[in-house]
Amino acid sequence: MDIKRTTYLLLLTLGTTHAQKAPIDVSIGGGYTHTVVPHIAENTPASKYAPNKIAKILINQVSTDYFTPYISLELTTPAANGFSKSLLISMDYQDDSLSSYLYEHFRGAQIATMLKYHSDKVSYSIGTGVSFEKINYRLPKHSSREYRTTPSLNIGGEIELNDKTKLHLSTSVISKELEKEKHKDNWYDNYTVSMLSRVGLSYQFDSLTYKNGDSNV
Amino acid sequence: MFKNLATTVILCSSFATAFSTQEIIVGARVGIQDLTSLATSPRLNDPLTEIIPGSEIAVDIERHCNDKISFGSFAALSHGYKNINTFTAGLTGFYHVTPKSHVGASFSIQHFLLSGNEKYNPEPLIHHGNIHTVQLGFNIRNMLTENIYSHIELTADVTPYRYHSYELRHDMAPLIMTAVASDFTIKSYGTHVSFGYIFNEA
Repeated sequence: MDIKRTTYLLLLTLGTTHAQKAPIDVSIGGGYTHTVVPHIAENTPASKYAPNKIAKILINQVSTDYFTPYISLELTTPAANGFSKSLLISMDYQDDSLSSYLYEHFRGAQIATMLKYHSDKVSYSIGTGVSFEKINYRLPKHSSREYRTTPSLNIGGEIELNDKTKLHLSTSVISKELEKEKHKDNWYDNYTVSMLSRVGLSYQFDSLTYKNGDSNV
Repeated sequence: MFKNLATTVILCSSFATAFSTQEIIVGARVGIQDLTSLATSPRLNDPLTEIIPGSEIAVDIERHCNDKISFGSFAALSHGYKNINTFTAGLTGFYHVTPKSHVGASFSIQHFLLSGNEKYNPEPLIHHGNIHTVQLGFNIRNMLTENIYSHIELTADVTPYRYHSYELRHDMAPLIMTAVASDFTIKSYGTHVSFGYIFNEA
């Protein structure tokens, strides 16, 4: 297990352990995700030694985008001064019809720890997490299936439409370190990021308040 | 492009003039944005992507219909990575959940402005043509104080299907580009986070 994965698991464990000591606000939600996945980043041998400028553009910028439904579970616990901490678990669904020419892509799930600031009925959130993916490649040089764990940065906002319902807007940046490639004596990092934008609704089972650190429990 | 731009400016001016006779709210905001443009073509199996982080400034003009609903217009200018600039103008509507917390939707036209500095980076397809897209946005707004507000918005491209959103400028594009990019359709998606100041309140 590498250092990055260990760090994520440690953070998640600390977050969930801490959350167990405080009152927890549970909400479930769902909506739509728009995902953009660039396949190959710049500075790979494929783009560096492209035969002409157009080929280089095509290699650098080729991508896939798709809309997929998602479901989420969020556990939130109040903190001081209008802040709260939450653990967000979400899953996207993608069927085979959305697969790309280069590879079939299936996003499994995301787990993220978030810090939120609540102001009136609006809250802002920022956090980091882990994205678990299963990817089926079409390219013959890759294995047909690969499981990958990648870090993500999440920012967003939500507004309480009434006591139980919230509207969510959020964006996640997921970094990917693809397979390293070797050209002559040099190794090239095949590195890129994908973007997820989400719009969804959630239902809140309990209604805690988060003003000035005084929860209503 | 300039015909559409002129139409948009006239539209915005009309709204601004109309609102000036009413009790209106005028605000200006500054923030960051991240645009993703996707170029698709019948000749390609996958779209080409340009991810463009940048900054934006915007002016909001708004009028209350009643305690819960307000309508207005906005205009925004952004400067992005690789010298890619956009001008967006459109209409907004907000539902006031509480006096301080608002949720809304926007409908706007977005223009990618040629920078005139293609030597900076000649690679992006955007620099070789004109693009105008139709955007649908979802907003959350919060009054942090009496005059300062935050604005979070996600925009999705709702340009009608088969509409040719990308027009190659043959005078600016390399010859080889004309063969590749002549039939592109470009869609744009964005995330916007900004903070604003209200100059007057109705």
